[in-house]
Amino acid sequence: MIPLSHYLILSSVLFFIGLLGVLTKRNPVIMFMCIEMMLNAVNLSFVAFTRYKPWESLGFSMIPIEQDNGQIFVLFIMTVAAAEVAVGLGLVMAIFRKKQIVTTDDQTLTSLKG
Amino acid sequence: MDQCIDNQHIYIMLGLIIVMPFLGSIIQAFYGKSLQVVFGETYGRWLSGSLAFGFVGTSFLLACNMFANYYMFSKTDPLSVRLTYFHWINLEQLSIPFEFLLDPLSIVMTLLITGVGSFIHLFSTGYMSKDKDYSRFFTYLNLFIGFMLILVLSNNLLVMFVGWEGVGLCSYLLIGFWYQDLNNCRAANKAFIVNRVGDFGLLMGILWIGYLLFQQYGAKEIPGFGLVEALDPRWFSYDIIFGLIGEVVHKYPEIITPIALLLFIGAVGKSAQFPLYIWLPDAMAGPTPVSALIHAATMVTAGIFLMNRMHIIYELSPVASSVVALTGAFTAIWAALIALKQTDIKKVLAFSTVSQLGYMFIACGVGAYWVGIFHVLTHAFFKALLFLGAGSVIYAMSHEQDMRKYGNLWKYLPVTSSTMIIASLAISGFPLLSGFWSKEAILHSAFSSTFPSHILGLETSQWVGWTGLIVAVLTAIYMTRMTVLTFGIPFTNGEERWKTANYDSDHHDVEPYDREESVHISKSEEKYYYSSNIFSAASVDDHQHHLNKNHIPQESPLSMTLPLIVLAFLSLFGGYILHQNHTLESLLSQSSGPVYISKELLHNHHATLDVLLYLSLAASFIGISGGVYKYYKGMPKKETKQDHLWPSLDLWMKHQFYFDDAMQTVFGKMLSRISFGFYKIFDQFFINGILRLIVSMTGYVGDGMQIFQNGYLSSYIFLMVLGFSIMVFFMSIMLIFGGNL
Amino acid sequence: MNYSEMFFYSLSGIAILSAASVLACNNPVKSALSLVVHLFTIAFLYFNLEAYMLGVTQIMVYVGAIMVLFLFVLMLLDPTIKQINKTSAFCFQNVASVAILVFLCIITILSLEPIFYDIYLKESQDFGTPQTLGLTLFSKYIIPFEIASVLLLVGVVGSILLARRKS
Repeated sequence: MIPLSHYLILSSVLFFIGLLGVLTKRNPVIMFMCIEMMLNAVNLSFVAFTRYKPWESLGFSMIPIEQDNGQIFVLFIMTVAAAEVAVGLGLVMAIFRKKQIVTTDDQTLTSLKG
Repeated sequence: MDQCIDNQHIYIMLGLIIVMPFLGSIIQAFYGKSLQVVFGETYGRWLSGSLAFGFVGTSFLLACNMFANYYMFSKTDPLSVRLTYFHWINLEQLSIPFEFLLDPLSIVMTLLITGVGSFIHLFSTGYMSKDKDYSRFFTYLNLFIGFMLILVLSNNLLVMFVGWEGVGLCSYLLIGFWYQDLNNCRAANKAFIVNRVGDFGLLMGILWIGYLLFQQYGAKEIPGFGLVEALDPRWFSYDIIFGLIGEVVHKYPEIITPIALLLFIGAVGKSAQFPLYIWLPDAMAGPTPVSALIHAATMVTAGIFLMNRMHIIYELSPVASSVVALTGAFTAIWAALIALKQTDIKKVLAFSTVSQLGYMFIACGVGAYWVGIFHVLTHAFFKALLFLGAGSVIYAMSHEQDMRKYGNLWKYLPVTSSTMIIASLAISGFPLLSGFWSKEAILHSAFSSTFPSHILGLETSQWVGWTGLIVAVLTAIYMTRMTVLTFGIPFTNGEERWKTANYDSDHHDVEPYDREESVHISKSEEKYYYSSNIFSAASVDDHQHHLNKNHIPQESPLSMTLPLIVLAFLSLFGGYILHQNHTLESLLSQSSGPVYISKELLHNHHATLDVLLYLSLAASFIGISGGVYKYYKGMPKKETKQDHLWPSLDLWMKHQFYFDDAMQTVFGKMLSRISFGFYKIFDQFFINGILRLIVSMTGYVGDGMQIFQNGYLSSYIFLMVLGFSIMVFFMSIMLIFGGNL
Repeated sequence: MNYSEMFFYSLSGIAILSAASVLACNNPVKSALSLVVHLFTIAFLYFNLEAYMLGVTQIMVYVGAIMVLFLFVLMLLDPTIKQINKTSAFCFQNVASVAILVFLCIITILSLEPIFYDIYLKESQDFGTPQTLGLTLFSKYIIPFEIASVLLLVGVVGSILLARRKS
């Protein structure tokens, strides 16, 4: 049997891989992909939690937690992610079309420094 | 001292007396202009003026009613009521209610203020009728009456201070009424600033009294007894002060003199005594009714009122009393000497006011407090009349104030001249006129009192008394000079003098602030000065006509002559009425509360007293006849070095002993040098240095922080994650070592 | 090790490997394809958790829609963007962040381990079926659902506005 903790370990490993990508990459499209990975890692832990219902085992049955809340959250996260990707890629397109650049550390983008 | 009378009638009536002028002021301020718009220029002004007069007049009638009901017919036990309207400050250890005191002193002052005030309002409706800011003038004037009533009626030193500052404010606003002229603004500023010096002393004195009482009688912890409850914690109220100050002084006898002197500094500032008198002559820049009401009849007597109110404190301190008397005497003779040589009619009257205020301080200093108020009353009658008469003359002469251009006005202004002659006779101490009685009373009390101090082998009070006699002579001389120059002297060189006067040269050399002007104006100010005149030419100053050779003076309208006539009657008979049967004395002396100095001290018999009446009569006649003899031919042509006995003294008198210039040098230059030094050391070096240090440190920190704001996206994300990581790290540590979720 | 466990561990390996290859690939298109694999494995993990509805949605939305969008943009920016898949120039920061992240990862996992280790899958009827999900979504969460739809609409309008050419 697979314990809940394995799902959580997998989820956190995937999350940090995505975070590492966001930190190191300088192609905005790849950065978006990494953000999607992070979101999916979180989704995975949501579904696992909902499925395993740890609050019942740990004695938190006093708290009225609905059964399917986690899945609903996952659905909403997917929605937000879709919208975010659409707008973000639109921004990438707009910036590319205006300045002909595709990296986040381009000199024309760093002009906003304090 | 006070009887708690639950009398709704008196409560409402006093409230109305005080509220009326404020109400008038508010109406003038908010609806004065609209009245002129709605009813047209002429009727609007008429309505506005009658409203202003009406409110003060109502106040006067109510005060009369109150006086008649509660004082006139209760000779046995004059009323002294304390009326609390609301709490201003109410703490456990300190309570300052907005309370008023009705006693003979305050009701007499109320009658004076509202009475003379309403006549002057009536006069102003005529005098200011052509002014652009008609309703603004009455706004200030009504406001002044309101604050003055608060000053005299309050039963609380701090509420009195509210009125004190309020009248100072109104005085400032009214001196600078024609604010487009820089001279007026300077005069207003000077008055305000000089008064601050006095107010500082007054405030210190007030707070010291309050602190002293609080320290002695406030609630405190006594070991073994627990908390001792305070008495009534109204530490600033008169009844509390007068009830307790005797005990305190008995414990600490040395503390009363500084308090009395601090209060006296306040009185010196407000009542224009040496050396703080310098604001009063310049205050004549305001409209003449203002000079009459504020700077002669009412506000400047606030100092005398304070002396009377706090007279217990002065009776406890002979040193302070002798300081008061000496200051009064010195101011009296100093200002009288200056008045001898002034050529501006209002300047003469201003210095005369300073001199007469000195007289009143003599009375207070020698312990005859009611005499001070007596002279306040009579002086208010004839000095208000003199100022209003001068205003009438100025009005008739197209705002020319130089007496050297007057003359023969008797022919043109019969009412004004006859009333003014009465007033100047009254102030000169002509027998049986009002000034005679009060001046005689002052001299009498001065000669009959005793101080423990001696100057050059003669008692202080004797010095003061002889000075008073000399001042009486001088007063008669300069008042006669003014009257003769203005109304007498038909012709010089066959023409009336304003026809022959030289209009180009010495038009302004009579005004000392003008003289200072030319010296002290810097370049930039000069620019402002002229530009302001350019702006003002279109908007104001239809009051600044210039006298020309074909001018024919005309008698003022009835609204201006009626107050003159009423005041002339008061100047004629007021003194006698008040003096007869000791009316005022018996009224006022009963409000004085506990007296610590025995009456016997006041009745020290001197040889001088027997002949005092003859001496003062002689002083009056010598002065009047001397003045007539010297000036009946007109102003001596050249009051210069050649034909005068003491040429330099003459010049000094003409230039007010150069006191203004001396003050200018001391405070204007020396003090500004010192301030500049302090500015360099403290402001520039320390404060600016600290500020610069802070600024540059902020800059350095910012430069350091700029490393993180480099514009690279990954750097920002890194920082965000770093912060988030630290948070998660601590949460994890709490999870691991905290033991439970 | 039964079938379910084998399925889970192999899927985990594939997920981690594909995620790493998203970062490792030099060609953005290859990264995108690795991401497709990654998202598929996530979907299968949902199936393993009996969340069938979510798994299907995952495949449809992510693999079907979002990935197509990614690839579409990559193709549109071709050939410029294709060349650049290098890491950022901040070496120190990278090293530091990797160190911190690894440390935090370990800390977090260690802290979670004792609590969640003993929790196993329990019997559950109609857990991830469209019926239960739909009933919850359209009854209790109807207002967030509508708001999410408005958000999508705004996203569509915004992306069109951003991406269209100025005429």
